[in-house]
Amino acid sequence: MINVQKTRLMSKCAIYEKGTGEKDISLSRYFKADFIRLMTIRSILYVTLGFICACALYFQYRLDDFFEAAFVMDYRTLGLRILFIYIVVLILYIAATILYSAFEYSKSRERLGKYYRVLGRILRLNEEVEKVKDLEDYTGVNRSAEENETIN
Amino acid sequence: MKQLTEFRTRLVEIYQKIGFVVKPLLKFLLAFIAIMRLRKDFGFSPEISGIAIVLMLSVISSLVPFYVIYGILSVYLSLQLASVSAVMSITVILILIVLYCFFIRITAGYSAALIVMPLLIGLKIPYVIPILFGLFASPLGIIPCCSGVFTYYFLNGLKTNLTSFEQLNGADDPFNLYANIMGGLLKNEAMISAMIVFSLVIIAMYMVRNIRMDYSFEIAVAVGTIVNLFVYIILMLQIEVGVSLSSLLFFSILSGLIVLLINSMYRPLYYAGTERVQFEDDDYYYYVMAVPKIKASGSKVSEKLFITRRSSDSEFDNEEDDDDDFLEDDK
Repeated sequence: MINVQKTRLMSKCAIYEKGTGEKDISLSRYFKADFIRLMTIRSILYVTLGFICACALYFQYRLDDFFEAAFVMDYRTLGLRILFIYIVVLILYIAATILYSAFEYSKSRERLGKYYRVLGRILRLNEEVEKVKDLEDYTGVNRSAEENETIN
Repeated sequence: MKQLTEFRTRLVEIYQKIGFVVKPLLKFLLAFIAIMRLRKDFGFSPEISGIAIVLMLSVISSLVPFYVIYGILSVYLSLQLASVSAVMSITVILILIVLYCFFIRITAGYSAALIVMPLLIGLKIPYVIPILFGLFASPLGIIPCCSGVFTYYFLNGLKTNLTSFEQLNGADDPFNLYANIMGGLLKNEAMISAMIVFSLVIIAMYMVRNIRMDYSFEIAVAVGTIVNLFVYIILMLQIEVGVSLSSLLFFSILSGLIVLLINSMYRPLYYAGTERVQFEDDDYYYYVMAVPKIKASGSKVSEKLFITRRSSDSEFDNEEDDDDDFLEDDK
């Protein structure tokens, strides 16, 4: 006999697991600080890669000027300027990443909390069904005539 | 009005039956149109210009996220350019990496705009995207919107400069080709004005739609259209925006009407998405199709459950219904 209430709850859980829940459950493996640290490291890697490519594109754009001034350019000043821009961009991205990751994590924990509470209700429903089954077995309410004869 | 409601209800019924193929089909069509456009403008390499390759790439695109489709299109363009200018081929890949690392990975959910925006600019109705984003997205939607504008003008500049490059049989310095394109882009007032206008439209609409009042979405669309018109007119007085007043007026109002129509259709369709899930317990395997019921106003009422085995007629226990809404929070 299908328990419709249990099926309804399990369906909602399955729909959640198929959608946002997949990400939330993978996020639940991390503590908040670890998750923020992981996102920050990823940001640093992506920003560094993007910055290197952007520098390559800029160098390609100003190639003629660079070759003309190759022997007279102050490379130290140029290097410091590039480093300064890199650090500013990195700090901005890290700040945005930390704020966004913290917000994401909190939202995810809220949704997971509700999901686990629904799972707890499913478990309690299961236990109730088991109790009823055990009671029926003990009292013989749903036993067939043949089973009763065997026991007697 | 009644016909619109009936049409919407009919659309919802069709969507509930075939909804699971709609998104892949739309992605396939979008990728197909984009690749055919690239093939038309930059079809330098006969090996990858064949229709079989185009169809294969479109089929792959139907199965991946939008930002991956953008990557596929960029790689396709790079391979086409490789036979004309190896430098430009590598440059396209570098631009893709920069865009992804700084912008696309942050707004992956809105990355359809990267592909749709260049196509719509070509059709003279680019205003649909910022007005749509102003209605449904956060201000982060500015990023894919502006990236789409950049993509269009970059491809335009590439097409123009490649023609003269080809005419010289590649004798011209390939680095000059890139310098010409980027130099033209940085001074392109039409591109800069489009980015400014679209950003202002999205911000203005986001602020208006979050005000608690009746018809806030419809008012936001009107505000977005008006902001689009007025800012463009003000910029027109100062710089060359690359669009005439009559086409600006016509296409702005048309875009506003299109977005209003999408808004009236979108919410019922969004909540009409049938969910198919399967799970098991100790006694049964369950194959469940959850079909939302839709009210006349378009909001979700409750879910109706179809399961493959017969169900009992027991009543629901509604004591702890608070936690049942954890799915609705996301919508």
